[in-house]
Amino acid sequence: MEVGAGEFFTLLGPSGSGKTTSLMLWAGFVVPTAGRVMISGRDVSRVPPHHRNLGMVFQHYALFPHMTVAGNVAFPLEMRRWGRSKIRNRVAELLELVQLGPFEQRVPRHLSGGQQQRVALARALAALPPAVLMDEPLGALDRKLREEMQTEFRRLHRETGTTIVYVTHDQGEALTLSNRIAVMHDGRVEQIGTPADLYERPATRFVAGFLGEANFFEGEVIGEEGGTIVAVTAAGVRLRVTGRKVHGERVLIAIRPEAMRISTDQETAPTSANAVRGTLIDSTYGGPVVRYRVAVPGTGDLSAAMPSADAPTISWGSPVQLWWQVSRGRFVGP
Amino acid sequence: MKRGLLAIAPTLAFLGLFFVVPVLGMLQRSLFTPAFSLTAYRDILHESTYWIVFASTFRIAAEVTLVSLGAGYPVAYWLSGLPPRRAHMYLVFVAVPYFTSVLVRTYAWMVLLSNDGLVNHVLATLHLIVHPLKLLYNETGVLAGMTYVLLPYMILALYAVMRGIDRRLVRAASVFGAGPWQAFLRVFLPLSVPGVAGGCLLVFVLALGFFITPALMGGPHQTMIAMLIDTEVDQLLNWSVASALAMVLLAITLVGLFLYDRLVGLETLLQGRC
Repeated sequence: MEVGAGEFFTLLGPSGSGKTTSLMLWAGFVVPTAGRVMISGRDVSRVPPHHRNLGMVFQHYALFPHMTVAGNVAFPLEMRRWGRSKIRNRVAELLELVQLGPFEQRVPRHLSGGQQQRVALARALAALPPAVLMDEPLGALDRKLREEMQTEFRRLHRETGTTIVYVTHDQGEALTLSNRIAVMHDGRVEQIGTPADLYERPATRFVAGFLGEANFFEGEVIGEEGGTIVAVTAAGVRLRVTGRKVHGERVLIAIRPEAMRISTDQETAPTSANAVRGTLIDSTYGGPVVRYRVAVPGTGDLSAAMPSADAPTISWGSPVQLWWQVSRGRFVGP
Repeated sequence: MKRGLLAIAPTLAFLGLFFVVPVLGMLQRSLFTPAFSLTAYRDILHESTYWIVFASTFRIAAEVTLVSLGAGYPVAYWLSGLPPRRAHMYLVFVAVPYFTSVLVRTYAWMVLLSNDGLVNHVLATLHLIVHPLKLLYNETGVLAGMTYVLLPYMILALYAVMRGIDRRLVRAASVFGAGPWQAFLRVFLPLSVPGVAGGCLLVFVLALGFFITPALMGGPHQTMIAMLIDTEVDQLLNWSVASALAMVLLAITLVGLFLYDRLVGLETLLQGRC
């Protein structure tokens, strides 16, 4: 894994996937049994945390309760032996940056969750570290505050140009904030890429299912037709997918719900598209989109999501067909 | 509520009869001889012997407090870093000496520290000393005996506060450039101050009232208030001065316990945690 200077890089994965352990390796709390940790071209695998010069925002802020806001922000600077007046100026500058100037002399427990978060942020940025590590920093906040802080993180990242390594299990947060994301699963990196890369071109079944939703088809390649691969599933569904595969290869195909169109059985799907028939078992109105679940015999339940304006009203239990453009299907790893 | 009161009535009656009434009686004896007068208190104030004994009492209590703090802090620090189950197991060991009477423990120490006791014997065998060290009937003996008795209180008071310190803060300090020693000095130590203050106060206050240990293990320079009270009653038959001395000691103790309650909370002594 490599993080570029000035990048907002996110480690995304479910709990137990190894993302926090990776962060601990970077911070220096865990010593690698194999491999190396490099910061700015220097091997720091055996360097203790206090000599790595990093900034960090912890899950529960970990503000020093016996110090004021200013004292907390000044701490990294004092540890790095900055001069007294330099510290004073830097602290004032940072508190301005996170809009906490008037709270300078308060102690952390007299601040709200969002304000504590800002103090933690200012402290992490204080000593101009080459990178700031963030361990699920928004986990303890409620939804509205979380969204506010996301905006704040983006602003601070833009204004300071600091490299940020961010850990979260929240895919929405990862997509919103990051320049690049590493999706982790069972202690391994499944895929690294930009949010759009990962969402639109997931490499594995796990990535496709973890970042957003996906419908999966398992099948075998039976031929090629004008640049598209033709595969057939065990249930006999014929699918055409853009890509390159060899005859007889076992493949897994993922299609996003929003790529699916739904229509009643009588209407005909365009011949250029893939289509399957099934029974509508559920539809839910979710504001901008309507979600449908369709039971397809032999294949299982598939989901489709259509913009509310185009969404047909179909009664539950009706026979329907789902169809999608050939280009919207993706081969993903097993 | 009524039923609760009924259940504790025997205890209350017992304590009232055998504790509160005698204390009030003592207060009365210190103030009425038989008419109301503050003579006893004035005597204490004007007689230098009392001042000397008060001074040595406070000195010994302070020394015991410092030694207990020095010995107890590392133990409490280590215990508070263990998983709670293991820590509680070790805390039981810390508390085990409570189950033996102070008298027995004091005699045990006397055996260890006497001129031909274990300590001198070992030192002589190792040729570290020629003549036995004088470890008994002086300040060393009193400090050893009293610290041994009071150390568990110190450890429990420190442990109670240290357990509540979030160790992630120490980690955070290290990310921000603090070495292990600096992280301890700047983060852990300040956060443990309530425990230090509480433990010191408790040990100090308890040490003020010691009788058996200084009487058996100390010399003339280790006379403490409780021993003086004993002399007043037993040999001088001066009940009013003895009562006045006891009241002064009680007042100091109550102020100390009140402060402890404010700093740490008395209930932590019973639970061994915050």
